[in-house]
Amino acid sequence: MVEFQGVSLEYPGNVVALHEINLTIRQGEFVFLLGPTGSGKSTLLKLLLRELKATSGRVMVQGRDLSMVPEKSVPFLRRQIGFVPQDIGLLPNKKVWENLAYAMRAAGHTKYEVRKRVPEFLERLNLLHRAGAFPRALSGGEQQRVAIARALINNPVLLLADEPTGHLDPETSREILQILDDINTRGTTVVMATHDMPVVRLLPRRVIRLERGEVVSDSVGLPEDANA
Amino acid sequence: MLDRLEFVLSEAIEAIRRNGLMAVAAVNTTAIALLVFGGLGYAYLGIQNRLADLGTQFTLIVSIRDGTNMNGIHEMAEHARTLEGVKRVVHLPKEEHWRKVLEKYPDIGRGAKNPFPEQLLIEITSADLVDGVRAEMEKHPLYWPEKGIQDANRERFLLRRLTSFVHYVGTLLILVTFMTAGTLIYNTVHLAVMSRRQEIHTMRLVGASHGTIRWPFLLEGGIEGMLGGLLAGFALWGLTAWLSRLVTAYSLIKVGGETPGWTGVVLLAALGAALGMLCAGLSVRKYLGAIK
Repeated sequence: MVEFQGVSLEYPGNVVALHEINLTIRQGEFVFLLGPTGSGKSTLLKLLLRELKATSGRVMVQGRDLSMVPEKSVPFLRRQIGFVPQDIGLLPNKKVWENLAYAMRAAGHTKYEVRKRVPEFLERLNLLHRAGAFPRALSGGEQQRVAIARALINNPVLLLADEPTGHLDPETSREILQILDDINTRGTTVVMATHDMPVVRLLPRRVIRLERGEVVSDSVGLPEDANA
Repeated sequence: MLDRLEFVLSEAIEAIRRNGLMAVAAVNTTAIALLVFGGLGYAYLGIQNRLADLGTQFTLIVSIRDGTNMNGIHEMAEHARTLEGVKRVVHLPKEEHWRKVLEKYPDIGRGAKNPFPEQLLIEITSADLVDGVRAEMEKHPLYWPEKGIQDANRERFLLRRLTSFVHYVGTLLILVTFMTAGTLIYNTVHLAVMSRRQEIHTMRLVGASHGTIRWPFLLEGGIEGMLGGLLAGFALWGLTAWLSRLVTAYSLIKVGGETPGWTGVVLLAALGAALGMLCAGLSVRKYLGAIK
C-alpha cells in the first residue's frame, strides 16, 4: 500500500527533515507515527499527499511513484487519500454538512450522491444532529469528528490523521481513537501521527517512532525503552 | 454538466455575498468605468453620424426676421442667388420644421409656441466663398441676427475637433477608468483569495482541482463586472434619452443617433463580465500557481 524507499527530504538551507526512511505499510494496517515535534511525522504525511516531494528516494502509494504523478493529477491522488489535518481545517463559512458536501463536490460527485451519502456519514459519526451548525459552534471533539467524516466521505483507501487528538481531553481522545479503529476494522489503512504516548498505549497497534527525521524503532505496541 | 455549473455558480454567489461592501465597490467602479466608456463611444458614433450627414457640401442656413411675408422671403432668396458662388437656395418654412419636430417628439411641443424662424438654405460651390456669402446675408435687412446663421462648414470643423478631443481624451479616460475598475476587481478577488488561503489549502487537500477552486473566483469577477456593465448600460440609456430630448428641445440639433437601448446594455454587460473575469483570473492565477 505505502512504501518509502530511502526517502530523504531537505528544506532550503540544508535543514534535514527526513533521512533515509525505509518503510512499508500494508493494506489494512493501523500505524502510529510517534515522535516529538520536529521529528518528521507531518513531513512524512505531506509526502504521501504530494504536498512535498522527496529530495531523494521514492514514495510509493498503491504501486505508484508519487514523484512521477503530474501536477494536474495530484487532486485525483488526494481523492483516494483521506486526510485529517493537524489544524482540523474545516471551512469556517460552511455548515457541517456543507463541509462534507464540498469534499464530495470537489471530487466530482453529483448533488444526488451528496444528498445520499452525507447524512449516512454524519449518522455514522454521531453528528447528524449538528449537521446545520457552523464549525465554530462545535466542541473540539465534534470538530475532529467532522474532519474525520470529511476525510472518509470519498471512500479513501488510506486515511492520514495528523495529531487528531492533539488538543483533546483524554476522554475525547479515546473516542476519536475508537472511531479511527472502527474505520480501520472496515478495511481502510490508517496512519496516525502523534506525540501522545498515552494515546498510543490505548491501542496495541504498529508504532513507528521517529526522531530527528529518522526511524528509531518499528514495533507492535510501544517498545520497552519508550516509557519516558 | 449542469450539476457542475450549479456547484461552481453557487460557490461564486456565496463568495460575492461574503465579500459584501468590497463587491459593491467593485460593481460601482466598473459601472462608472463602463459608463464613461459607453458615453464616449456613443458621443463618438453620434459625431461620426453627424459628419456623415453633413457630407462634403458647403451650406449656410440663414434665419429670416420674424413676421416677414412670402414676398420678403422671395426677395431675400433672389438676393442670395445673385451672390458669387451660390449654387442653390431653398426656403425652409418654419411650420414645416415645427411639424417634423412635433411628429418625432410630441411631448415637447404640447402647448408650446413654434420657436423656429423661417430659414433659407444656401448651397455654395466652394469653401472659400462661404465667408463672403455669410457677410452679404448678414447685411440683408430681413436677416434675423438673434437666430443667426448655421454654418455647416463651421459645424463640420467643430465636429472634427470634437472627434479628435473625444478620441484622445476619451482614450485616456477609458484607460484610467478601466485600470481603476480592473484594479478594484483584482483587489476584491485577491483579498478574497488571501483571506481564504487556509480554506483553499483545505480544498486542495480534499482533492479539489485548480479548476474547481479557480472557477468560482473567475465567476465572482465576471458577475461583478457584468452587474457593473448592466448598471452602466441602463444609466447610459437613460442619460442619452434625457440628453437627446434636452438638446432637441433647446437647440434643435440632434447630437447623437438613437439611444443605445438593449444592444448597448448587453454590450456593456458582456464587456464588464470579460473585464471582471480577466482581472479575477490574473489575481487567482498568481496565488494558485504558487501553492501545491
